Amino acid sequence: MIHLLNHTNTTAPADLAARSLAYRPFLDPLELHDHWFWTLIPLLLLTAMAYKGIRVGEFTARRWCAQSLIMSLQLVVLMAALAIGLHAIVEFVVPVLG
Amino acid sequence: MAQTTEDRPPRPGPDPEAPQGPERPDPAAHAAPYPTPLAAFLAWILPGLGYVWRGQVARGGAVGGSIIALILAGLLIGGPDAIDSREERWWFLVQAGGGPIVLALDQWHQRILKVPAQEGAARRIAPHPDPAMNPGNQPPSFTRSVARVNESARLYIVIAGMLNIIAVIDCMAMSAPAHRRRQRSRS
Repeated sequence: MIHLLNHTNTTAPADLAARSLAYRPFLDPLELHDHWFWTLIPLLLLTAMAYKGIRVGEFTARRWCAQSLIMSLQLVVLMAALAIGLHAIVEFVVPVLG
Repeated sequence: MAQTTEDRPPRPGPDPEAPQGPERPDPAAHAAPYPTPLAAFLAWILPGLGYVWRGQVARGGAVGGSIIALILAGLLIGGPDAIDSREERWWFLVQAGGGPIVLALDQWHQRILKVPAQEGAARRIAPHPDPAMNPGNQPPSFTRSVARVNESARLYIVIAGMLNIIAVIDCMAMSAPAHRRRQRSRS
């Protein structure tokens, strides 16, 4: 376990550090720790595309694209509203109750 | 006084002549549902292949392409740690709905990228970058993803697995390809 915990906190030699800094797609994670929420946008878009591919009636590319876009926008708006609501609860309601 | 059938008001229900919106499933495709296990199996083997076998090539391409894009995007964001059958077993069970692609990626992660830990350790882990902890100076085969990036990447592949399970059920519940229906109607 110590081995695992120290994995990201050690001072590695220069060659190993340089090697670890070189980004390798699909082997190293993206540095998105401060911007992780932007990964939700393609997630919602691809989810809507797959779901509407299954759900749309007479399949045409135009209808599929339009419905996927509408569903993506609906999901983005819904998640933003949920985030705003939860933020308001945490910032304003909980302090009043506490 | 008993009502006859002609006196009764019409039962409320869907009007067969009402215009159908784009959300309604295609009646021709859903009209004669009977289980087609082969279509379901093909849909699990490769996302979208079940629809292609049923003759809906465009739909198969759209569904399959989207699900495979979800898997690849998860792998791109979180690296191989997004799929881990040993350390994240319950997540993996849902991710496995994505089919053999996910199983192969997990085997690649477990058998090739991870190397055996120190003797006696139960798990296989990535080589440590510190020479004191890594006497053989093996380069790290991959970098572990942590925190929100790992969760987001895992979520991508979990959703891909769940969507492919929906596609498998859809392929199994819908009718067989047109040529098979024609053969059945002739016989």
